[in-house]
Amino acid sequence: MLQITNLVSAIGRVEILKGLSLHVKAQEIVTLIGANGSGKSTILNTIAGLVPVRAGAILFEAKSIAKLAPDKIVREGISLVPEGRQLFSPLSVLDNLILGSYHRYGKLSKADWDEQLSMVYELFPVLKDRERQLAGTLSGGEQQMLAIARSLMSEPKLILLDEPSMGLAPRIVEEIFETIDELRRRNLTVLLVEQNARLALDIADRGYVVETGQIVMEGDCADLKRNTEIERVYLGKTYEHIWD
Amino acid sequence: MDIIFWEQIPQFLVTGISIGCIYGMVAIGFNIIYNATGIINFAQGEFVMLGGMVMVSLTAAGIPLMLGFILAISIVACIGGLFERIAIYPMKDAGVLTLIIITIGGSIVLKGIAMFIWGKESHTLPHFSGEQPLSFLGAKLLPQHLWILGIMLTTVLLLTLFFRYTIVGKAMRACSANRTAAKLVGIDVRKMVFLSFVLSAAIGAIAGVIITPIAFIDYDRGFLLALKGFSAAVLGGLGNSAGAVLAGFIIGIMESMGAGLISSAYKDAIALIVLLVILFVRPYGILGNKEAMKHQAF
Repeated sequence: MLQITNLVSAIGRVEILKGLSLHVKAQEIVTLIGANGSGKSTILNTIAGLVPVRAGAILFEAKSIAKLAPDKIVREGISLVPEGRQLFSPLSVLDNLILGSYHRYGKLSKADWDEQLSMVYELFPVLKDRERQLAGTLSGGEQQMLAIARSLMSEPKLILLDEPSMGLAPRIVEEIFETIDELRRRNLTVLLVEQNARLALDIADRGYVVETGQIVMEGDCADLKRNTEIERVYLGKTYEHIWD
Repeated sequence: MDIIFWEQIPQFLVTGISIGCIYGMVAIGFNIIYNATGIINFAQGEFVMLGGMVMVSLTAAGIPLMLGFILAISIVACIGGLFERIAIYPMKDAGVLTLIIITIGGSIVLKGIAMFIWGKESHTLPHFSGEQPLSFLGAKLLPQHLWILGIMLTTVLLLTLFFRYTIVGKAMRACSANRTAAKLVGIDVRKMVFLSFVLSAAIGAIAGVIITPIAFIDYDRGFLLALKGFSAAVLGGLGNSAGAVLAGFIIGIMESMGAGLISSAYKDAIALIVLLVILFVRPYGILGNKEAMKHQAF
């Protein structure tokens, strides 16, 4: 579905991604794990078109999207839920959702649009209760839910999630990850960037380990979890059971 | 002396409110572009001047009032759009300050062109519906004063409905709330910037057309209008349109009271004094948000 080869991208003069390749198959959940500043978020931002591509290719359903602007990439069926939510805070929850469907707002029939909205409300019932409230007044967890909901309103084929657990209480994080699992059941494809490697590896099918703008390891999550290096660096286990 | 003094107050009020309408509309023009781009468009006053001037030419050509009004607004709106495409659009990664200076340059160019076309003399327009004054608390109230107030309020109402209930209006608000997110949901931010210039120019033109019958217009009029409109925009809280209307009235009334009761020589200074005081004391404006101001780029 998504095929990235030898991707190089830079923010200003600093090269962040240094020839990185990865792929995501349809209906897969793929996660990127890595330390702060390794370039995980930049990968998502580059796919979404926020960071320009210097070299390499990004193919989405066999079509090159490397040169497209962000507002065109959404139309191809890729939606990014950015780090830190990035809601339209002074607008109501409902307006945020309406704007989520902006690129097909005129083309969609009222019935189809209502169906889309009720699907999103079914996933996040709390948003229906807060429909008229300003997005900026929601709690952190609700804001994250709204960010995901807004992205779903664009009816994406591939959803890019950037740090959905950031700054949230463990109970809320659990709730958010249950929703991601639910997205899998709805045949969506997810590329997930997550600081919390254990959670990410639990939910995803495959994973990539990113270090200084390059992929250093890849594999099924089950294998990655057993890898001693990953255990030591990202899962924070002690050495004892390995030595035993 | 005292009796004359009190009798004049309603008259000053009438004048102040109608000129205040114009300042308010100029301020709204500033706000729309500011919200979409973060820049202050100093050519805003020129849009007002052009609105009046184009209407003068259309009226001279014998075009009826209603049609002329619509034509004048459309022509100036096109000029606003053209201005954005020529001067703002090509500057892809320019900073806010660069763009502001470009708008100052643009205003000088527009002023020069207007001088070539309409000359240096003042022009005026016939009143919309007669010059027979009505009496209002002892003040002479011209029908044109009512037109100005009515058209301004209608414009504000339509704008509010546009921003609140249409998808394009919501998209424009989304751009000012969060540009990155606006791009991510598929909004073409540059198109919204273009639209904001068209809209601001149209509102400027409306102000120009309705004020010209009671205040002469010449090629050089835009600058002072922009300055006073800017004072109103800052007083009301930059980006806040309800504040802009209120502040327009305050400045208009202060100006006409000041001119009548103190000296007309200080008329133009009053708006500037208000601007300075507000920048020192309450830079986020009377209706502005202190918190929001902290997050702004400059």
